[in-house]
Amino acid sequence: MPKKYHVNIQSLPPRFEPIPEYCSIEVNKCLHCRNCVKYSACVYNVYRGRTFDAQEVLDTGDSECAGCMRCVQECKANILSRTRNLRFEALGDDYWRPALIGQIWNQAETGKIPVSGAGYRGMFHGPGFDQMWTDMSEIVRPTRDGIHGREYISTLIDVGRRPERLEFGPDGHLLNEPPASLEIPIPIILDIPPLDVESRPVREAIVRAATNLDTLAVARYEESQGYLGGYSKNLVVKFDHTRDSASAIDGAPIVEIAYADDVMNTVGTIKEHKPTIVTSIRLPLDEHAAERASRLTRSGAEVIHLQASPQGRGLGTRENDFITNLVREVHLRLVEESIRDRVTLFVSGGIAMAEHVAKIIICGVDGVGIDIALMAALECRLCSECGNGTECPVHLDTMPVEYGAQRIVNLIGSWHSQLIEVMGAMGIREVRRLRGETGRAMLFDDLEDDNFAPIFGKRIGAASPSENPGTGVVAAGDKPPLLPAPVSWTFPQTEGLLNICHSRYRNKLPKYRVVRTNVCIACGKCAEVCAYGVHVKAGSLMAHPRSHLCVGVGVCQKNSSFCADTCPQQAIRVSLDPVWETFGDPRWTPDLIVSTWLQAETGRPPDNGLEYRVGASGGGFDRIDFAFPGTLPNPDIKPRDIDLSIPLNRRTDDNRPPVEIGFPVYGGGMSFGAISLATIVSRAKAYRVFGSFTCTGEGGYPDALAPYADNVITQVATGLFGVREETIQRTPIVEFKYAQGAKPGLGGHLLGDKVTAAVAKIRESVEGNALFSPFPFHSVYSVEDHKKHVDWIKSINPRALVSVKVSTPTDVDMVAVGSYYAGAHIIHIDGSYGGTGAAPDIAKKNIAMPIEYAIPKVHQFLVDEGIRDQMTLIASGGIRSAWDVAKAIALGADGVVIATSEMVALECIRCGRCESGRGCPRGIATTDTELSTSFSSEWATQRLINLFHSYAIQLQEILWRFGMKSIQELVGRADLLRHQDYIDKTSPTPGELATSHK
Amino acid sequence: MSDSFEPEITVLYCGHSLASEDHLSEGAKAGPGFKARFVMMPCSSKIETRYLIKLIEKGADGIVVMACPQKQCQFQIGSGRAQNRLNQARALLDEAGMHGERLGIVQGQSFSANEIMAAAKERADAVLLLGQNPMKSTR
Repeated sequence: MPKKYHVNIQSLPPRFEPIPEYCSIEVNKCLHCRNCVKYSACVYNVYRGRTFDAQEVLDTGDSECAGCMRCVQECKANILSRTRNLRFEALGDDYWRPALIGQIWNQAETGKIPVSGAGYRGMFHGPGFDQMWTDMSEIVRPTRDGIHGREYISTLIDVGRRPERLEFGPDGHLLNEPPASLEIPIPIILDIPPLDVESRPVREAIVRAATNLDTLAVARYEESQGYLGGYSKNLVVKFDHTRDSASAIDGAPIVEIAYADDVMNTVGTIKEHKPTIVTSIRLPLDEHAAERASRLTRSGAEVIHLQASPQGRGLGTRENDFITNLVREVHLRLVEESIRDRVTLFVSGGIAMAEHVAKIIICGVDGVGIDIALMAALECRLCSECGNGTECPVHLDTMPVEYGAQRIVNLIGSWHSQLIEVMGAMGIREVRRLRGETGRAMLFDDLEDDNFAPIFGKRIGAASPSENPGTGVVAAGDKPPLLPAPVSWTFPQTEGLLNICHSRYRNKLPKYRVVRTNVCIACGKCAEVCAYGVHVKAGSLMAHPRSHLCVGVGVCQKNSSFCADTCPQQAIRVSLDPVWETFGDPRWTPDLIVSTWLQAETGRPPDNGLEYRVGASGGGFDRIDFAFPGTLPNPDIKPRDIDLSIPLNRRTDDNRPPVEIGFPVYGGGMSFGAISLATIVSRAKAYRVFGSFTCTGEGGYPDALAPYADNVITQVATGLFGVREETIQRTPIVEFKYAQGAKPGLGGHLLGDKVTAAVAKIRESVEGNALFSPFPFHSVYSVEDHKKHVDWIKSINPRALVSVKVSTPTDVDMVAVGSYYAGAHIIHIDGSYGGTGAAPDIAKKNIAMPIEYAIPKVHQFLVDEGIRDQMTLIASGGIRSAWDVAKAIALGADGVVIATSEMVALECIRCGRCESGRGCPRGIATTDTELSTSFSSEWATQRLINLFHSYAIQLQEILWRFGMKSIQELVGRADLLRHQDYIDKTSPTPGELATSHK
Repeated sequence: MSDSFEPEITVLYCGHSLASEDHLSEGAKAGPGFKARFVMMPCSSKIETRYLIKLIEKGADGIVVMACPQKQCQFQIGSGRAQNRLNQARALLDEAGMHGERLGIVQGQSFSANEIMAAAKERADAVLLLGQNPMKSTR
């Protein structure tokens, strides 16, 4: 085993206040109410601690703000707002995006893995690296031990030429002299940033960081002969044979030569002078790269350093191709010619995140060079104004070298840890084995072709979501589409239980901002034309405009009822409220968040124009629509009579009781510790109304849940926190959690701040100590071991059903079948975009596949294996709306598990601060003694009942439009779906698709 | 007033008021006879009175705020608020004997980089008559 590698990180605050992404704004005049929300509502005391940084012209509070919006929503005079910070958005370029730069700043400050609450927030996929997901293994050796250092995951790579074989003489001594090579403990070298930065402190900081990290830094020849000479053991010296002297290179282990047709002559010259030095050839990653790499390797090249553009794209005629594809071409060319192992490949250009390191190695290089990211680590704002007479905004020319070096060490330390997380999830213990392992990655095109093409036909590529946003609804035929009608019936189970349940907060977040200036004469014309109640005349006065009711300029102008047009004084102004752009994300858009709030308030889908069906992630559910028939196929069906119940025990080979849930949804595992007790209890109460279940998560079974035991699933996860025989005996369903979609292969995270005395007691742990669940089950290394687990539960509770919750790796279909043979009743697949109380950001986005691909994959495989009707397939991880529920079922699931949308119903705004400190500022995902009493379980129960009711009637409406009498008829009916990025669909008949399961 | 006095002008411009094709580098830049630093703001209403006073306290010789026209402000009233706050800061500076004219505001839309530079120059010319910020020596 190689020597253990450790990066000495050290928290290092920035020299300059970071530019925040959003800014708070005090728009109106203060009421001077003497009970200011700045101090009463701000959980993290941002307003108390903020100052104005005159040097940076920044409000320091904006960097500290958690974005919980409580101050905005609670201010009595509604004077507070937020807006996007254009200064932040001006950072970097299209590739080095501001958020990416901000992440690098953060990692360079802390050296830690970025961990946050809530699920993934980005686009479904994107160009380049964002078309790859890495794999994970449900059952592997305990790699979590490797992540925590009890075992070792090696990131060491060899640099240099490798002999194809060793030859030994008759006496056993080696006949062939091994070529020069060296080892570096991380697959990362520090390149020269292409930013025209000549600042000596910057150059020296980079090289010193390489020394501290025991890796290599690229240096110019003259630098190596001058002020960087003292670091020679860690230098890759750039060498130009037309002017530099090979004999003068002293101590450097590698020289680098720019590619030329006769470059091997130069290599030969250098080798003559320095036989032990390793030579590297910098090769442009252009249209000739693969052919040249092949020729150079055959000619004896030791290291080939591919150079891409700073934006991660190729050069020459390949400037539109991304390095992931180009590197694969080079790698596969060498593989096909059986010469790949002779040479070391590096690539530089566009490596901006830890995940890029893992992904580009999977594409085929041995290591990477990083460049611009180093500048960002030094607080550079990538303004590219160096050398044009503008003063550097972060004064890199005066940066202390030691400070800069440590910031870079911190960044690499964070990336190293994240690389280990990714490898640990995959069960790979050697980064050298990661090279070229595309079989352990999932590519967007492959996933679409394998899982969507059989359903949707031929892919035409995606238009941008803004051009063609998904609506969830298309109609077949020439007849006009059946647009969603107001849903007026009541779901039978909730008769008498549906009540309006208002927001906890004074101010609603409006999509449109309506202002009436002081030239208003209170004529009331606006109140007369407004059909939405925005303008109200009260006696002789006009009430303050109720902006949250406004549906926007477009709708009203179309209807010739735009208030601002009718105002004789031109006193009314209407526009999109800037605050609408400061919360939400592509997966959970502001529309989706606020419409979920409204559903929890009213129990029905909103009718104010908000998009409540889909997000704007540009893929998956957000690009899939239902193709409703032009006429009602079965008009005699009454929507409220449509059956939404599903059975959970379909096995005919055991004598466990039948269990049925009243609608095809149950609650995901959220532990006591991750969320408050009031939230836990309210979930149980609400699900009881619908005859369904909540789940304890892995934090034990709180006594407060005992009265609802018939509606509680208890979880046995890898940490076994609070797992007791009596709780297993109490429950109708036991859920084995092998992995969680948001952090596949990593085990649970509960950071120390949230381990209060009560949490520690139930988990039988120590207050204040972080709890990381192991991964995987340390007693399960095979399906046989898994079966022993299932048998154990079955023997303890003879009535319980067993659910197996797994993530979505490439072999998720095999895992599902394995669970069937182990005796499980429910296979619960949790997609990679699911929610979490705390997870490394790298895991949320990159590990395992989104649920949209996994559902048809598992469904079809179970059908092919002839066991689909014996298993209940439950999907979760990114189910955000009733329409997502229906789509998941049409793709092949029997039902779904939700959790994030429940949090949103309780007015979560997805600020992501669930994971540490006092936890959720809104009192939902917290164990803080004060915050967790922010609302009563009665209020929360009503909100959840209302949300579920809204889901139920929307599902009934969808089924009604298709003429179906039961949700079970929808299972596997992917023929009813259309994908906006596919055409020429030859609609398979229901019989052609997997519909054996009824 | 020294002949070598080159006013340092801080330009706080609303990012929405800048012409979309134009770009202003963030670092301080030397103009003819003055030095200007351009700082993009999310909205002119972000500029509170205390910000202006603090910038003067920290040595800015002059400040010019570039704001959207009042009806075009994204918050609809933010530009007007900026005007009011600037007036308040001016009054405070006058009260302190430090010349409120050090502060200026220009409201308009689609400012080019040249127009913003010209506004800085105009403020520099005004400040040149007032002399160096007396707080500068206490920095």
